[in-house]
Amino acid sequence: MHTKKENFHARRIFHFLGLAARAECDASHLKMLAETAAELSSESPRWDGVTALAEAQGVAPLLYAHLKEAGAEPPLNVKRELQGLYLRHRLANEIRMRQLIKILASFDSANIPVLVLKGAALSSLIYAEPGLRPFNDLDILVPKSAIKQVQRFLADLGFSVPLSPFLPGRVFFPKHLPKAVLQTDGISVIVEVHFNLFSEYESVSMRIEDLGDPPLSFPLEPDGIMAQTLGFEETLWYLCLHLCRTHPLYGESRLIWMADIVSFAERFQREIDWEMIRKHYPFVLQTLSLLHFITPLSQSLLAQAPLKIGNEPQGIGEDFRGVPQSLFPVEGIKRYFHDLRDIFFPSEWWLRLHYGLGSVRPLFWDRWVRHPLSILRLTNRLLLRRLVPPE
Amino acid sequence: MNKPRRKSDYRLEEIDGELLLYHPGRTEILYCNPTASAIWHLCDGNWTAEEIISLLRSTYPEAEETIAAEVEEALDLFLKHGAIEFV
Repeated sequence: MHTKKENFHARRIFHFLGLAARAECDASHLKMLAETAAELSSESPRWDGVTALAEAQGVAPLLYAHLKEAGAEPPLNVKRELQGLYLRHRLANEIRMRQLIKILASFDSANIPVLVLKGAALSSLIYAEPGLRPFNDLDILVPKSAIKQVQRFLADLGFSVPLSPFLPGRVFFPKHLPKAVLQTDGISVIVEVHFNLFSEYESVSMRIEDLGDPPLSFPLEPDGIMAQTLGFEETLWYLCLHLCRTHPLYGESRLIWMADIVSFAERFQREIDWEMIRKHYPFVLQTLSLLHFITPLSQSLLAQAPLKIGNEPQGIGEDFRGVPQSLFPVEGIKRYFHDLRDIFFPSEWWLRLHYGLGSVRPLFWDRWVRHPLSILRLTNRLLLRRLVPPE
Repeated sequence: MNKPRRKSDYRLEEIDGELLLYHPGRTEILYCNPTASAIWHLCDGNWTAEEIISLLRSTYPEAEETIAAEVEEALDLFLKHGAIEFV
């Protein structure tokens, strides 16, 4: 259990990193960053844990770049750590992009339609340099009918490709193939081939054939080869669902995903059909209204998008703890009830983010009815899976 | 096998006025001064350590007395971090 001082420091660091969680900072963001950096330098504990958390949240290169732009000078050891992380991610991204270009070229030779997703696309699309947006996997979306061809192409390029898309106990992966891996230039290049954007647990399904928006074309750095990704509105929707729905119960949400959403909305605020977002993807507006408390949205975006900004929610950045690993007390009754409290009474921030409530809507129904029912349904599903394993 | 050679996955770059030796898949970073940088560039598999010392002494005669120790120290450090191999 952390002390109050440690918790306060952790929240302050998270807030600090949140300010840097965007592709571009305007004068007001830089001022806030510089001021918070100065406060960290003047207090104790100082910059403890900043670099480690920045790296875990995927924003170390952004923090390095924005602090430099703000003229803020962190302690020498922190500066050097951030320099190192910036250079490493920049080089690793270059290596991954070279492989992506080869993959796209080989798919193109066979007329296999492919969309580049998430970090691999966003690093070239919205960040000043690809290295500012670390990513581990190359996520691509292809038609399910092309899977065997795709696996052959990847194998020809030297990737270690699972022989079969089938896993023991499963008929098929719900939305993507097992990862294909290539060891090159000192790192692992991992390709995740999706044929559906969403998993079996989601109520939505999106294959490349279902996409409504025309794909967005963009040049891949550093060569300028053209690639495609989802359209403006579908990109925002996909990123918001990925942040708020895919991971919260099984992992932590990351600041870099929030940076992606805010930065994409800021960069393409004039191109995005906000009326269409309001009608068909209101979840996007709810998410953006909450991310405003992580990294303040610009005045121009607030004027452009139909956003409603309410009061700052309690527990910003506090992730959900997840369903209990065991339904029976293993660490003592006190810890068990503590865990139950975390599970059934998560932070207001997480509730609003996960259930798409925005920052204005009252919380009562979702906190006292919807969320407990959701947990009970999930627990029931997990119990059934344990009692009746898949054949 | 007595000629140091850089491993291809490592890079030496200048950033904010400092020289950093790094690997894309590893967390350790080495900070190099200009002498270490010169030594790094001479680790191309063509020179022995003695030849590197001799070359640097002729280039930096004012540092003649310290060059040997600096070369030895730098090569030890590079080797310890896996950045060079002897061929």
